[in-house]
Amino acid sequence: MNEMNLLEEFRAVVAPPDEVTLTRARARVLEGGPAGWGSQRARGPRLPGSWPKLALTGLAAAATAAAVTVALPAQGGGPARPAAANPVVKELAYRVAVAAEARPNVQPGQWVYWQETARSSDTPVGPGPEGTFQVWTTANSAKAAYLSKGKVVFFPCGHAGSSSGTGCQSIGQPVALPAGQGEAVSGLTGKIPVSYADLSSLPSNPVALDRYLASLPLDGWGPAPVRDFEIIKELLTTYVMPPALTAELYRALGNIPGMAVDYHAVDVAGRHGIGFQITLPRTAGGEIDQLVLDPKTYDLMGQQLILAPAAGSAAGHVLSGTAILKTVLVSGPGILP
Amino acid sequence: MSHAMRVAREPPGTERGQPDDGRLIAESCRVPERFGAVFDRHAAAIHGYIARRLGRDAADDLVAETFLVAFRRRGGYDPDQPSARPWLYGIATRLVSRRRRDEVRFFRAIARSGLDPAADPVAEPVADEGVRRADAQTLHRRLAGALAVLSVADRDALLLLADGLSYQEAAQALGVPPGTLSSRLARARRKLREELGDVNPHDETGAEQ
Repeated sequence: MNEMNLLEEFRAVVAPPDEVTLTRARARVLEGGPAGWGSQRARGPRLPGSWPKLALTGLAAAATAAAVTVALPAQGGGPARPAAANPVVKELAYRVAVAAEARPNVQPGQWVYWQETARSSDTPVGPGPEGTFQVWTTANSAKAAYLSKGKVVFFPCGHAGSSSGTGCQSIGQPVALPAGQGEAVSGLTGKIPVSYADLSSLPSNPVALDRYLASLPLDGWGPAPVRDFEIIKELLTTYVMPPALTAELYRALGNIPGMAVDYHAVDVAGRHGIGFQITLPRTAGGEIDQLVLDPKTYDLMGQQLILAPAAGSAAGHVLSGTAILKTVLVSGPGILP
Repeated sequence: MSHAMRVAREPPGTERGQPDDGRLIAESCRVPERFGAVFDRHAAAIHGYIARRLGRDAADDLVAETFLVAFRRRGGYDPDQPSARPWLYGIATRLVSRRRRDEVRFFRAIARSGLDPAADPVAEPVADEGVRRADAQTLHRRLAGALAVLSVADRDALLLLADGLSYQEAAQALGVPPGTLSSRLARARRKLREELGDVNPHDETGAEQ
């Protein structure tokens, strides 16, 4: 060994950087500003108004904490200004968008097989074991079907060919449950705020998209950031969209003020994932609404409503949620992948 | 350097079919997010390079600073240069040189205490067969002391090569002709040998390279 070998060895013992450090640095770079992530956190004044601004705690804590957010209580004083998107969330959302863009294109009438499991306060909701159910929808959710005694039955969603053409475009996936006289259908309540046909006319700029979605007149959907998140969540869990549109929605998700990332999310099927989440206002229950993604592929895994830290020992308890076990393009309703 | 070490330090993401750095940087002028792929390829190596010279805390900070500088200057990058490695190491080296006193203090602290704050506490030292941790620690301690007394220019040249850069890349990173780099290296290695004294252990090759 000569001095160069010794130097190389001296270099080789250096510990590799941890993922959180690099993620933080990457976000800071892509933000591009001289302040960067750290100084934004340090200098941010508390915002007026009742909606709390969320900020990241020290990222070292992220490795052990269930979620990496803490709510800074809003206080008066200082001029009002829009809350900023969290760069770490934005960075992850943009990565998810890149993965979404790489997926194959889907036609609106393409049939999709969904296998899901739903739970409400630990109680299975679906008819199958552990609350599983299967349903077929077209990518645009204009039609939906299920299997009953081996036969394909269409959900009664109105005429998909009507002037509105929205058919089964209600929030989430419908479920057929066993009832005394056959099956009862559920999950068809609540019209999805944006029809599939209107998706292509949404603004392509993520900030403009957020602004547009938050401006939709939806009573009871909460303040603008929550409304924005809820709409995006419903679109992602209801439709199978063209990759570019899905990517736009994820980018918009990353720009919502108050969004946080939970690197230790667990969906209702017990699978580990990454959660994009927002805390609902106290007047709406104060829970955490979460969208769970596969940490490697960034495929959508499901959504859930969780009790927030304010719930004390019950914090983290899932009030309700759905896990998507399979989403597969198939040739028609009733066809299994 | 063993083949395994050399392979481990190749930046990821340069497999066949992947756009090279030049193309990514050019694209990032229109779509800034594309620069993220350049970061993904090189950040870990740059972090290690800085951590070796200033410690991990400084590296956490300066790796972002390096890429921020690169991001702001990306418009001037020659897209025909397929690898951004020399460019990024050059930026990192200039940032490190601004903290040359910290660097000297860092190396002196290792030399004094034998404790290397940049080292992975769980990893065995990457040494040739049979070298025990204690031996490696002693060698590293003396090496750190020797590095502390080198000039910045000599240390830059040595540590860029130790990081796996070729002569050509190191010269490019420092903005000097390859001949100048060779001269610096020859001088630096001679000084290092003098400082190390009898430390040229387990010298099974003993050969100059």
